[in-house]
Order: sequence, then C-alpha cells, then structure tokens
Amino acid sequence: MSDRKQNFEEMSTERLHELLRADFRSDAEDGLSGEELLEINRILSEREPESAEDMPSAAELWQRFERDYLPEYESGSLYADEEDAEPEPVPASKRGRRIRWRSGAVSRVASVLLVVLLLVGAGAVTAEAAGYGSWEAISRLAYGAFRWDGESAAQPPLREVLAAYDMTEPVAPAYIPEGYSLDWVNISQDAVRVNFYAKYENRDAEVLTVLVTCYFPDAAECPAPVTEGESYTAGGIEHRIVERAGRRSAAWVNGRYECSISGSISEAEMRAMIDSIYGE
Amino acid sequence: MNAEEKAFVEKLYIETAQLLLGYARRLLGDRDLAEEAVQDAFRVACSRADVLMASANPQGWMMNTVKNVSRNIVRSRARSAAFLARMQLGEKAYSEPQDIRDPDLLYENLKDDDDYLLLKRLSEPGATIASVAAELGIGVSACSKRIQRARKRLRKFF
Repeated sequence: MSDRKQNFEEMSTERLHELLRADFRSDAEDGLSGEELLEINRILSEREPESAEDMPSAAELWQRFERDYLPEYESGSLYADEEDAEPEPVPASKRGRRIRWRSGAVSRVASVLLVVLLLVGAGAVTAEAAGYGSWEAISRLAYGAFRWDGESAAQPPLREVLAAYDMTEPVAPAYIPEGYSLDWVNISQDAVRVNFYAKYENRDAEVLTVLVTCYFPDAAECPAPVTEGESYTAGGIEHRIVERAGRRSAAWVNGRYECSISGSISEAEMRAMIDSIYGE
Repeated sequence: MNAEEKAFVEKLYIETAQLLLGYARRLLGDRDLAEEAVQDAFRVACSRADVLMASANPQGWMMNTVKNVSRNIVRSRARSAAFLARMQLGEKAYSEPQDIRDPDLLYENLKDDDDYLLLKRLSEPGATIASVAAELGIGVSACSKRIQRARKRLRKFF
C-alpha cells in the first residue's frame, strides 16, 4: 500500500479524477479500496483547496444530520429501493439468511440447538453421517434447524458456533478481557462467504467485537492480506493492530478466513486475545 | 444505537464529513446531492453501527458507503428521468406536434396526480429527498417511502 500511496502522490490531479470516475462507473469488486479512496481524496483536497470554499463546516453538517436524517435512521438508506449501500464484506442481511442467539430465558429451540451443537462438537454426528457432504450443506442444515429469534440463557461461545459449522481452524479467541460478556453471535452468508459476528459488552456498555469471515472453498474471491498497522505475529500468522478514535482493532488473514477484533481495550489485552487463539 | 455507538459515529462524522463531502461532489457534481449522499451514508452507518465499529478501517468503510449511496442516487435519478422520457415518448405516438416537451401537457390525467408531481419535482436539478421532504413538511424517511410507492404505482402505466 505504501508504494501505491506514493504512486498516487506522483499522479497528476486529472489522473486521480480519472481513477475516481472509472472506479465509480465500474461495478467490479476489485475496484479501489476504502483506504485508496481515502488517500486519493486527501490528495485532491490538498491540491484543490478552492473546492472546499463553499463547503459547510463539519459541525453544520452534523447539526443538519441530527435534525433531518438521524430520526428514523433504523430504516437505513433513503435509496433502499436501489442497491444495498453497505460496503463488502458485510453480514449480508438482505442476500443471506441470519440467525442470532440472545441471552435470556431458555426455550425449546435453544435446547434443540444446544443438543445438536454438542452432538456435532463431540463428533457423534458428522456432515457425512448426516448425509451432508460439505460444510456449506451443514450451514443450510443449521439455518433450517437453528433459526433463533427467542431468548436463551446459554449463548454458545463463538468457538462452539464455529465448531458446529465444522470450522476448527484457530480463528476465535479463547480469552476475552475481564468485564466483557458475550451478547450474541450473528451469522449471515452470501454466495462467497459466511460471516460470524460476535458482540461482547461490559457493564459500561462498551462494545467488543470479533468478526470471522470464512470464504467458501470454491469462491473466486479470496481475502487479501492486511498491510496497515503495527505487525504482531502469533501462531505463525501476522496480525496488524491499529488504534483509531479511541478503539483498538486487529485484523489478519488465515487461509480462507478473514478476521478482526475491535474494542476499547488495551494493547496488552488485544495481544492476549490474539495469543489465546493459538493457545499461547 | 447505544451511547458508545452514537459517540463513535459522531466522532467519525466530525473527522470525515468534509472529506466525504468532497468525494461525493467529485462523483455527483452537485453540492446538494453530495450532501445527501454523505448524510444518507451516515444513516447507513447508524443502522449498521456494530459492523462499522468492527471494521478495521471505519473511514474507508464510510468512503465505500458514500460511493455506493452515490451510485444509488445516480440510478434513482436516471430512473426518474427515464420515467418522464417515457411519458413524452408515449404521447408522441398519439399526438402532433412532436416537439412538445412538457410532460404536464402530455398526460392530462396525470398532471395533477400527487405521485407524478412528486417524481417530477425530484427529477429537477439539485432536488434532493431532503429538500422535497422539507417542501412537503414531512420527514426524509417518509418522503423516501412515498417516492418508492409513487414509482411502483406509476410504473404500471407503462
């Protein structure tokens, strides 16, 4: 990325505009990344200060946002009848199916879920034995059998949820910083990937998240290595740690898994979480 | 959104809104539409605050969301323009002279139709959902839903 940033600096203003226009017109998934868009627009803003002359201040914009746009924000985009505006990779709520476990009272559905999870975890039921030859099929089975909108006292940890999907690669942390408890695990999928999104919260309503995206074995699209941030190696995998807006995030790629951890936690806690993935 | 998520979104907004606005203007070439793209992108951010906070690069996430919203704005306006153009073409099959350009003169039965007037207003240069909502005295979400219903209903005519 640093080479590409250097390239952007060396490009003419017109060339940068061309890149933005071409990227905007193209629906190709290998277009400019968010990071590259940021860099190009930063350069253009510096080179074209006059473009900001009649621009409202950020405070004015926020005021208008709170007055006109923030109410009813839960309905999402105003252009909802067009394409989904959320960038990829995302929990594809529109295209995929979603299940969620919540903490609360035990229900019959949760009991069924836990029994089957234990059976799968213990190896008593395998995909082949059940007549399902791939983990994709298992996920279809799970979606059908485990759809869960109720309340459960026993939220299965992320590792158990992944194991139920026959994913035993080391990607989920065993250690969670003190004070945080698992709120829910949200699963969604689209044509090329399955997202496992775990949300933890502490008493101060601070949120810690773990996102594991697994690309299908035959998916043409594969996760790209993360290059930004401080390097931290554990389990033979390079992790990149960055701090932004008071939150610390770690991102890494392990084979067909793309993973991240994000929360208001210390550097030591982040490293301990990463180490716990590999039993270190 | 809980308090932490709202604080996170507000901080990100203040830090990036002008950069995002500059990007949207480069894409859309219109100041009002660009602001709508940025505001709508932050609506998406609010509705997906948990995912945004989990992102390793929230500013990059917002850049991509602005790009996607801007594409939707272009598509939406193209659909409205195509709708009005179809009205003109439809009338040409029945009447002369053919140089009539005002859709009001073409479909007498629709010219006072609220849905038609709404789409026509929205297709005018610089018109945004927010500006139309303000004229109608309704919220932007309600206005967005009315526009979607109007398109669906009037599409039946063609």
